[in-house]
Amino acid sequence: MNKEIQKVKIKAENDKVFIEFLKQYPGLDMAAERRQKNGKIHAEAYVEREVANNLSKPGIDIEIIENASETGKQRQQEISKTNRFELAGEIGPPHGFAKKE
Amino acid sequence: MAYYSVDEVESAIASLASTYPNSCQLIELQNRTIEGRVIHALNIGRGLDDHNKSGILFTAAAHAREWGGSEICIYLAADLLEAYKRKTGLKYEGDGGGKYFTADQVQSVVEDLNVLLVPCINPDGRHYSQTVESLWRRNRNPAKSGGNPDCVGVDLNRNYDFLWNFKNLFSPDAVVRTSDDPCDQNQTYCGPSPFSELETQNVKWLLDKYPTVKFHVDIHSYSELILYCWGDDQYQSDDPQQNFTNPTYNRKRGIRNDEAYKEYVPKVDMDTAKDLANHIYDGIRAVNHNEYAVESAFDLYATSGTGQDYSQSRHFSNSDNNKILSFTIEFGKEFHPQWQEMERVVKEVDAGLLNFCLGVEGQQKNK
Repeated sequence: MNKEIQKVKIKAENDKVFIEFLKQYPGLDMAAERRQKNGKIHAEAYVEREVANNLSKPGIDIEIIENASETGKQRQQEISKTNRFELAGEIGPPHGFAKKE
Repeated sequence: MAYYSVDEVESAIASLASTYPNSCQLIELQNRTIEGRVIHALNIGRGLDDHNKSGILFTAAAHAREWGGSEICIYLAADLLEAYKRKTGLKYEGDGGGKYFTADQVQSVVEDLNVLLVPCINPDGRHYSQTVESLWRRNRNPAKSGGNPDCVGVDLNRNYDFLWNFKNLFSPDAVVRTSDDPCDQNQTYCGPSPFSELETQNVKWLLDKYPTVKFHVDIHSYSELILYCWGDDQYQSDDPQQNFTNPTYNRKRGIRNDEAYKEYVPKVDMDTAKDLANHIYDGIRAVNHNEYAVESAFDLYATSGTGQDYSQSRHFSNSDNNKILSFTIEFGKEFHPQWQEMERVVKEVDAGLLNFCLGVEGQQKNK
């Protein structure tokens, strides 16, 4: 898994094309599969670039959106570096985002 | 602000339990993880032993990379507990005008229900995702990896005992998003047997221990979906014999729009499930005008061994088990957005989940 993973957008013409696509590529790491109002299927997948480059076929459009591995590294910088609640008596518990009123 | 580390998830709910001892309880789950981590649940309410009060189980972060589920649970708990103590309402502000819950509604959730939250089912996986491979999905059990680091781990949301043996129980023509290959790049390895994993055993343990739990929401990302059962096939309410326990239908399941099989759910349960799913939808929409889709888990393809289907199936498998209505939320538009965006998602989903609790409370009153 320690590879450069691309996030790709998949647009399939219809259910049948999409299901056949999934059967052809059962190993794809998929997300966000949604049927559109026009009957098309949109989905996203996380694959290596060389895999992404070979996914297009009749009825299937593929677009590379971003380098997901690089984005993931950036997001890892947004993980708390300290344990904010270890000494709960001193700093208090977490507070939610709703206003209390 | 930032995403919680694994240690912070635990210390956050511990601090809530110590700050609000009269309105919540910390519950240590049965199993430590394979890396030795202790997992706690937090129950908000007077106690799960009261059979007059419905329990709602919220589970999150079974998939390692879906970071925000833990924060959704913890901030919901923090909001409820603080507002209850201060006798205030809760206002979730957003672009859509916001969603307001009165102090009386907060009080009714805390006093008339039990809200049982497990903010992080899979801390080993979350830690690995947050520190090494951000797109990691599974737990960190190396048992079937053969020493190959790419083959470590089991997809916990394919490891439950619901049509787990998918190759024998679904149609050969069905696309079942489950794998029996530990090295499959789609990361949906279902494990060597149902409940092989310590983390899924923990969820089963909670459901066995607390039969007052009558609702389950499994929190995932992403897609902006609210899903009700089932995940193996389309549902029907006409033929009780056409169900997952019936071997007559083995190798017929999982095909969309065919007549061979549809999974049974009593109409009254489906009506209730749709009503409660719409409570989540309404709560979410009020905050940012964001419209999640409400549909059955089986939409484009089948799944096996999910936590949602397992918890709802327990009553059908064994009538001694309490009936549970189960849901999945797929929040947001990516696995781990920038924290600023995640805050927006947390607000709207927490409003949805709190509105769900009020829907359950309304159901309870009407019985």
